[in-house]
Amino acid sequence: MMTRLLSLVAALFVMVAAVPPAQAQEPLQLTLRDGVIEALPFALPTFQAEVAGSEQMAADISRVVAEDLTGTGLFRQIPSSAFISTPAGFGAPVAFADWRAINAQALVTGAVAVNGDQVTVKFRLYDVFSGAEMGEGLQFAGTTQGWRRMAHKVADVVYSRITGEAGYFDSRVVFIAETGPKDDRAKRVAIMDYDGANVQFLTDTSAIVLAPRFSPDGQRILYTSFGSGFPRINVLNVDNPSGQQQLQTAPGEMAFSPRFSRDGRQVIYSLANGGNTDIYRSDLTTGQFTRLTNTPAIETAPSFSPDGSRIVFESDRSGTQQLYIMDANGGEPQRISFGSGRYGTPVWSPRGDLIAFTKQEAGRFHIGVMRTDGSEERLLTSSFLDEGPTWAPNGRVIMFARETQGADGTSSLFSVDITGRNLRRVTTPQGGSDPSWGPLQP
Amino acid sequence: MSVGTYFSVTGHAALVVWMVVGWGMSAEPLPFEVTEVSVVTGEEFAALTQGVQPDAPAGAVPELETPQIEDPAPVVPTPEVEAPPTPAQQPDVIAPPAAETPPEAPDLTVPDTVVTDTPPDVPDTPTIIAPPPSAEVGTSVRPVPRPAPRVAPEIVAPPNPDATVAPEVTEAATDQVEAPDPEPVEPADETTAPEAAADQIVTEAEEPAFAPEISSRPQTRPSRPAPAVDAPADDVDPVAAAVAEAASQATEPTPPTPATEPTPGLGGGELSEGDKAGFLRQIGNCWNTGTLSTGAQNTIIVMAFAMTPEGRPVTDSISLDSFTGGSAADAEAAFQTARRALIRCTDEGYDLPRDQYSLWQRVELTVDPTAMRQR
Repeated sequence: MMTRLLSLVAALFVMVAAVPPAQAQEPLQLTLRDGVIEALPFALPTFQAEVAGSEQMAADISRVVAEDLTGTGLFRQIPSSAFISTPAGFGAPVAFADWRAINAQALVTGAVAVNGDQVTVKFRLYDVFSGAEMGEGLQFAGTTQGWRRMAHKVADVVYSRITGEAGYFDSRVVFIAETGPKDDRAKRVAIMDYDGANVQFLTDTSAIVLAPRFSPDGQRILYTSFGSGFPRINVLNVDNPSGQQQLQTAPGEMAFSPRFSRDGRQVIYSLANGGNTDIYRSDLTTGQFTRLTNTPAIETAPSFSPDGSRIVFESDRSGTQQLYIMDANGGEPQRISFGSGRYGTPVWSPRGDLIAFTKQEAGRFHIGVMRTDGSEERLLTSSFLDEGPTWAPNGRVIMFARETQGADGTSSLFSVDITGRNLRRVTTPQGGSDPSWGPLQP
Repeated sequence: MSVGTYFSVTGHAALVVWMVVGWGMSAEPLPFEVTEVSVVTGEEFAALTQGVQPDAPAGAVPELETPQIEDPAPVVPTPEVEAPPTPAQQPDVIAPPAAETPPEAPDLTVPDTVVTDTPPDVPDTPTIIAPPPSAEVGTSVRPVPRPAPRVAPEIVAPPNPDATVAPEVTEAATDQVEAPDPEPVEPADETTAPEAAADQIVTEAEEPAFAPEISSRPQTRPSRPAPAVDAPADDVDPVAAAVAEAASQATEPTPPTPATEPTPGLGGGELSEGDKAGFLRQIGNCWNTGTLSTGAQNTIIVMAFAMTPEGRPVTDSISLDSFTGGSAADAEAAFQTARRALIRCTDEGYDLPRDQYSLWQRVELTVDPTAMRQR
């Protein structure tokens, strides 16, 4: 009897304790690996003119914002002719169904007001299928002269909110503007917006100039000048190009291929003396310099890692031109490129994960990227002559120079996504080479 | 017997009789009064008598130490009170005008910020650059950076409250664009099909030749072998049998109660691989990894969401559970992209077996874009 009673109690306990609660069904577990890669369609109705006379400015800003986004290759603008409705006002309700119907996944609305020489731009970004605003609306105010920068700022925010990484539209590029035939080409240091607008010349044609490089803060530029007959490294201030300084070198020495350190206080460059080229580092404040390599090989094109702890450079110490990484204070370098062909002009990504380079192989030039250990090499372009890669501030896009074949060949600037997609020519008034992408402007 | 003895015996007998018959029969208890008393300590009593409060318990002492509360400065350090100079530390962040303007006034006016983004003031014509200093010139003095051009963003006030209430607009547009909901399918009569529903006449006596006997859907799992039927034992303990039955019932999943119409099936088992693949394919068709940042492309996220019986995800239930391989910002970007895909491709509801709703009522989706990165 006692045994049965205990068994009954045990049965009740099991029934109470083991019965699962409601909703105890395990969730369906799936793994999604296959998607699509396509440009995200977005709608950008022309920004509204809140003040009479602002219509043209509103249209221009809208156009630049759209061009920035579509220029990345990640976005596709839906033509206004497909719109079912347009916002009644900047703060008016959004008919999301109308935008869903035309498959607009993002909607950018904005308004522009021009008062004298002051312009105000405000915008909102909507996730159409979620029916919600992505982030808060923002407003930029400035002068009419800087309207393109405000448009770039808007595009940067839109880009950042959708992709999750910083934009690069409000940035500038310094490059060598080239005019004339190949055998008598005039070269000047020039600066422009990232998209080729607002080109300004910083030097004249009295001397051949090469390889301009932005300082990390975007205020100074290093470049190589042959004004004295020998290559010398000059430093100029972007806002005051006439006030230049020159890096000290001994007579007969040739200094070239300079690049700023990440803090802007030091310069690494190549110095050729007696037929030997090595890499040096100079402190711009104290003038002290340090020799970082000492081999009979030609070693040049140094580039700091983002944290300033390492330097990548090219060297033919192995018999062919390859890429090496060494400590920022010198030391034994480690070779990272082992593929066929010749590697040169390495540039460390701002994010530190990749190194862009120029590769020459089988009579073709390529722009490629590899990881800092030399793995996962990918060639992004191929042409008669591609060279001189430079990174966008967000490390997503590379700009480089491409020269066409023949006596009449010209050099132009191109950009390509690090995935190898979206190869585009950067429109400049003249030919261009040796680009150096500056930081995002404050 | 003497007279004295006689009176003594009589008296004692009368006493005994009275005690047994009279007093002993009375069972009712004597009435008594109950008075509640409380025990007080000597200190309390003394306090009561002297009009003085007794000492409070030790634990209450700090509570009575009010004078310390009046101690001014040390408690609230002044620097921390003035810490909110956040706006000064983050000059770029400007308070949204919405907080300063009434909500019905979407026209936002904020102080203008001058943009000093003028490009280098260099004419288009070549500028003669002063020749560089002589070779003996030492290392250049670091130029003093000029004030950086700045375009300060300002947060625009949120849209007019009406903007969030747009059901009329939405529904009106929806009516124009979206296809009408399909008519509910009437369950086919199993006994006599309508004439228009079949291309041959079938009587009740015969089975239609084309009638499928099994579902065309892939079988979820091999059929279980028929359990061996044991001969009923006469000596089975009924209590032990009850225990076993309770245990077996407890381990079986309890089908959840369906939430809305149409009433979903409660089929158990396992979702077929075909159903899973189809579900993933539908999501994948809308999962655009092209706009993912490179960091997000290396981030694997796990998101969870609930589904309606109609096969649509419950938007509010979509959540990011965990992630690996990237930063929180990367994970958020990857999550938002996957979330958009999930919502965007759900117009008709995902093609999932409605009779197995309990199996996909809740979904845990691992989103791995690393393979897409290489494409």
